[in-house]
Amino acid sequence: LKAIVDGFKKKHPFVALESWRGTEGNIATKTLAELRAGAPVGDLLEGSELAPIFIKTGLLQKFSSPELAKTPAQYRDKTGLTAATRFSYYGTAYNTKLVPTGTQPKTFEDLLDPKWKNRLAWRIGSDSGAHMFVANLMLSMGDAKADAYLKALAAQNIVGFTGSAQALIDRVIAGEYAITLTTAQHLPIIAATKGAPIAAQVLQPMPSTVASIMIPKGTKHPHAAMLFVDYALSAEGQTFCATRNISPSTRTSSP
Amino acid sequence: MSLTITDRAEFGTAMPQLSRRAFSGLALAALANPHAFGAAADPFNYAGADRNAFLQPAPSAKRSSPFILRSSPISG
Repeated sequence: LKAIVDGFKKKHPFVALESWRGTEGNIATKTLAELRAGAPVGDLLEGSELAPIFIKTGLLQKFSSPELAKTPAQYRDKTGLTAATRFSYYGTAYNTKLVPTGTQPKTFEDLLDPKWKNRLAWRIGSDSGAHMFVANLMLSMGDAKADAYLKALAAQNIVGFTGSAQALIDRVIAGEYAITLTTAQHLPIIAATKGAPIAAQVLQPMPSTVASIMIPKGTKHPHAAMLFVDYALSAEGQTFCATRNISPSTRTSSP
Repeated sequence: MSLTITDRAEFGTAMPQLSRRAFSGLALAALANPHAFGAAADPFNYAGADRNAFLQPAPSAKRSSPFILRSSPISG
């Protein structure tokens, strides 16, 4: 979200915005403790795995923004508690020195080739890592076929990586792993634009996640929170995302 | 608050002058911009034409605490 934060600070210099980045788990733990103690500190939350957690708690403030009308109805949260800010699309990434472009796996079946044994890694402990990979197979293939496929894939001795998504990309760039099975595709794309020996490869069907913005009940800065929501959903805010290789949400207007 | 005899007299004098058209005009203006009428406008659901100005702090405004955004890095 740094792209949007930078744009917001430039447009609204009188709002003393402090941006705090952490994992979804850290954000949820910290914010829920504050809310349950009746002493909210965080004014605004944004992330891809936060919405389901916070909607269940009943601790979110309902809101509306004129910018939401520019998002197709099917992509709006009917509860009015969250709004989509950006999408992430997932696939593989490979080290181009170890895996020359053209020889990389392009389908799920390709991943079963014995030549990839001991050369694959995926992220564990994150909903968008191995969990998403497996869920995508179960949804697209059906449980029986997915089960057979995963048993075959297990023979490849995939490394379970527990660090961050960016750390895994860094390991692929360093050549520690030839291929990561699951990564938000903009990460290798951004690294490649900086000259790193890495490339992205989508496998079909491609899963995606949506990041949402939400306001905890009792925020001390309701006006500033809504000002930020308007900006994050605006064409200007979304363009900031797009220009930094972050996939914007689905406004019907530009970008 | 109780009204004085003078208040009542002025109110009674003013009512006949408030035509249906004038009343409608005031009502529409209040709906379009409740902030201007001193209503406690809800920032989470404010649809006035002056929305941006309504949400913006004045350049001289000083906050007792910073506005805090918590966001996660994009995972994958």
